[in-house]
Amino acid sequence: MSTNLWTTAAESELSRYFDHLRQTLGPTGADTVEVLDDIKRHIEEEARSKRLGVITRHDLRKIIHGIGEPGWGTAEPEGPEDPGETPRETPIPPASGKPAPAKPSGWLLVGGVALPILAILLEVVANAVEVLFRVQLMSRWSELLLLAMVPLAQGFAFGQLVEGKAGPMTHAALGAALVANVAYAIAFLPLLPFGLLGTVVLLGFLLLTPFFSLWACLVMIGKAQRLSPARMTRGFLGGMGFAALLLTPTLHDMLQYELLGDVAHGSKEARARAVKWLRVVSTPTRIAKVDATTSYSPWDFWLGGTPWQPALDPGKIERAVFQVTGLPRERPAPGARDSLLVQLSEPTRDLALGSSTIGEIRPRLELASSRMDGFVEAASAAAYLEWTVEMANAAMRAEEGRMIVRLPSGAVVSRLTLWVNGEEREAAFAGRGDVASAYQKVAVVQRRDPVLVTTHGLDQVFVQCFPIPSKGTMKFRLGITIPLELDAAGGAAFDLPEILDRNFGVESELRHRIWLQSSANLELSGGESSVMAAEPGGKNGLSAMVAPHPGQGAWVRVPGVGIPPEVRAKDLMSGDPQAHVRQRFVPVQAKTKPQTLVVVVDGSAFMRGQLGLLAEGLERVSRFAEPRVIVAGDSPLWLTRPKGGSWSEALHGLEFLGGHDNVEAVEVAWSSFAGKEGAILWVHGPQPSLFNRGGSLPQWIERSQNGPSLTVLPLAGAINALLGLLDADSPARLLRGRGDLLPSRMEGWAKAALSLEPAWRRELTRMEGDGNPAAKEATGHIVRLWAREEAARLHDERDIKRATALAARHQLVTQLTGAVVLETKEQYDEAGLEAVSPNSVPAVPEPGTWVIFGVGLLFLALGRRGGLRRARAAD
Amino acid sequence: MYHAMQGSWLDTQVNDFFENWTVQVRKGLLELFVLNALADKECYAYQLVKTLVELPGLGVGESTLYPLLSRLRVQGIISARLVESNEGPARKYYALTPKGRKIVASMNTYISSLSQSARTLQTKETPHEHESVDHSG
Repeated sequence: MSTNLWTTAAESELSRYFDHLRQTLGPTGADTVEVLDDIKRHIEEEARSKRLGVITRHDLRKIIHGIGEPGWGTAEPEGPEDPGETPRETPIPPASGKPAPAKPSGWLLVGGVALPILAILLEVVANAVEVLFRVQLMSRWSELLLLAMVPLAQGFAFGQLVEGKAGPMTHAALGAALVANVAYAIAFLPLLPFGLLGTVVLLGFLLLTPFFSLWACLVMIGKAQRLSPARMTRGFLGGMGFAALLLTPTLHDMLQYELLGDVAHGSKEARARAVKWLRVVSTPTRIAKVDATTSYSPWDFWLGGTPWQPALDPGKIERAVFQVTGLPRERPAPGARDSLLVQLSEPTRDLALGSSTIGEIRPRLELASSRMDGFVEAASAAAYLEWTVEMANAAMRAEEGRMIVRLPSGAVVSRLTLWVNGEEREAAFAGRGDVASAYQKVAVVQRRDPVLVTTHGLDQVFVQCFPIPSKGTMKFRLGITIPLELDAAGGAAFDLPEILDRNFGVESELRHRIWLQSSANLELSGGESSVMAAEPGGKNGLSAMVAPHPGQGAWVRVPGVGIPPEVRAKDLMSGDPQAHVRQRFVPVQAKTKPQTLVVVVDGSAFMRGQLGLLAEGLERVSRFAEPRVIVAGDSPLWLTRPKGGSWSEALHGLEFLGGHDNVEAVEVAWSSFAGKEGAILWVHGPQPSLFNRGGSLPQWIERSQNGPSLTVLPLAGAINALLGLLDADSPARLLRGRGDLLPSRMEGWAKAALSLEPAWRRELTRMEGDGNPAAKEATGHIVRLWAREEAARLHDERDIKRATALAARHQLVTQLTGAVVLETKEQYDEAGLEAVSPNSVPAVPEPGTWVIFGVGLLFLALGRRGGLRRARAAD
Repeated sequence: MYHAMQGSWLDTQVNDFFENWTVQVRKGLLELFVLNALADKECYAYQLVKTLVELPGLGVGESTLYPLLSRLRVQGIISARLVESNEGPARKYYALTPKGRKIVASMNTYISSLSQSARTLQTKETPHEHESVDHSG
């Protein structure tokens, strides 16, 4: 029985040789058939001794030449192979007398090719592995390539082995497949028991695929080795190297993650060492991309994670990333949706769904449009802004949109509207817990259409809406009542709301479209363009485009406001037709005692770009009082100005590296007052994480009676996690940097702290009866501002019930109340909530309305004057 | 120069004669070698052929030996049998038949006596060496 393989060309050559032999053997007396058989047997023995797995035509001619037919064969291989002849194989060492390997079994095709393809397809199309087993199979491009390579390589090798070939490419393919199979077998090893159990319902095969594939690969390697082991080293190693290259990003990320874990959990020395290594093996940009809230990846087990619990707390990872880089977490633009990997696979499960954390960026979710319509009432130094937001979801599953919004200082959300099937639905305002649980039940559990707004610390609200339908949109509107801040130049201003943090993308070209109306002139700064034009009725309309990205904050100023006169407005929410709220501006009592000024400077890498403005600001403050400056670095450091030198020299002498939690420095600054009066200005870049949950600082701020005042000045729209811990009514004050105006903002802070200029505060008082009839009528927004203050006062006095009732009645989102829009009346009833009447909500007047309004006011004023004259005449 | 040319021509003649003679000798002795190789025990054909090919001076190839072996088998001088092998094709083993043993014994006896005679001729002076050549008729 011949066990050598013959090429067709070799067989035809042998046939030709035998024809020749038949002619010569005739007269010899030998048995021709026997001789031919003996010679063929001899040739095969020769081939075996030369370790030829396949006998080619060249081999045959050489052997025939060697057995004494000099006119037939040749000792040296001929030129290029004949068409159809396979390349000559080099000899292999005898396999200890073992027979040539049998053809590969079809089961190898099943385990090594079919199952991997099935697993990949299911994952790409339906996230099957992720949905069923909470395991994300492919989270990187390189992993997709690695996985796709396995069935391709093993399919190729299978085909080669069926033909009895095992060339360099076959070995390279098997080498690459081996590395990939071993890597994934190790990764899936902890899931093996689940895979075995899951085979009951057949789906467990998905988890067993790496093991089947590894088995198939090893069997094929054995067959290839028997065919031609001499090439195992070169081709095999080459393939292994290629696969190892594809594994490098994963291994690098695992190393990075491990080091971040040391930063998050390790001792001070371990942290310092890990930070140092991270700066060597990675870059700030790459580290900032680490997303700790993704679904469980097969490799996470070896980092200490499970499908139910990530290896490291996402909050700690975020903190560690910040510590190393000083950068906030990356928020990629929705352009990421164009990447092939994202196109080929659906986003992972949202682990922060329904929570009050932002969580990971949802790659298919984006802000589709944003517009702000509002009016500014100069007479009452108040404004009302309606911010309409539309979210678009391109994913296959519904998503939740979440964002933290920084409101203008002192502002309050006074309206919330959701569009449901094209109809506007107003919110219910109620206790915070009630609205939150209604949202959870209706949105997250029943997956119907609500939106929820609650406060999220000082001058911040948290907005979440779910479900934004697959391939659909969701539109909602926030109404914001805004008190303007008077400035020293006789004007009044407010900052536009901005998105501090979000779980959706924002296209780089997207802009907030702004439309503001006022009887006064308006100036918008910080936007890309603004045009003011006269509108009917003597009003002005300001149209502007503002970029929504951090650091692009814009503000509106009304020049020439002066000190607004006393105004009043009916409290229509109280149920008492006579109830009014009076607003007037009263002078702030100047401080008589000397005030100490302390400036806390963030020592993070972000501040490097702000040193010039900061130094100028300190110089300006120094004109009035020399501030004490403390820098928040690895340890708080009191900074002194060199003798005769400048603050710029002092600041530039420091190393601003990585990210630092400033809370410790603020606490040190606070403690340094030791009961004396004074003011702290905290100037900082992004503070996305708290290293120690804010320490004692939030308590000191809320409770301290004699401590310094704290003004927080985040630069370039930087987020401050500490502000999220403070009450919405905290005595701390938020001051926006307003870009290059930082030095003048710091100067203004110093002047106010030292009472160097007259300052005015807004006084809002509830009046029973008409109050001062001579006072101008204002819009109901001053009533809302009053209600906000009053609810805060009641809260301070621990009268929670009255505070909640007051805030809810006036439709405000406060520390104690929130707003939620549900879909149906039944849902409201079930939650014990009641949506507000559309007639009771504030609105931005139409231009025509201004005319009516203005005329109405005019008649009202004239009527009152007429009434007064009549009264005086009667007197 | 004439003598050098005459010497070179002579060497060529000697070589040609010797070559022809060795071919005739090998032809005659090939069967003897094959049968002697099988005298002690049965041999694996491939190994037998390899051994014979590598014998110095025999100068024979496999393409000559296999037909010879077949002829000897047909003549009943050697026998062949196939043995199945796990390592490759079935192996052919040759052995002498009783007839072959008799023949090889006779051949060996004859060659020995022939060699003896040749040696005798080499060492002993014969009468013809000392008689003058009578060229007269």
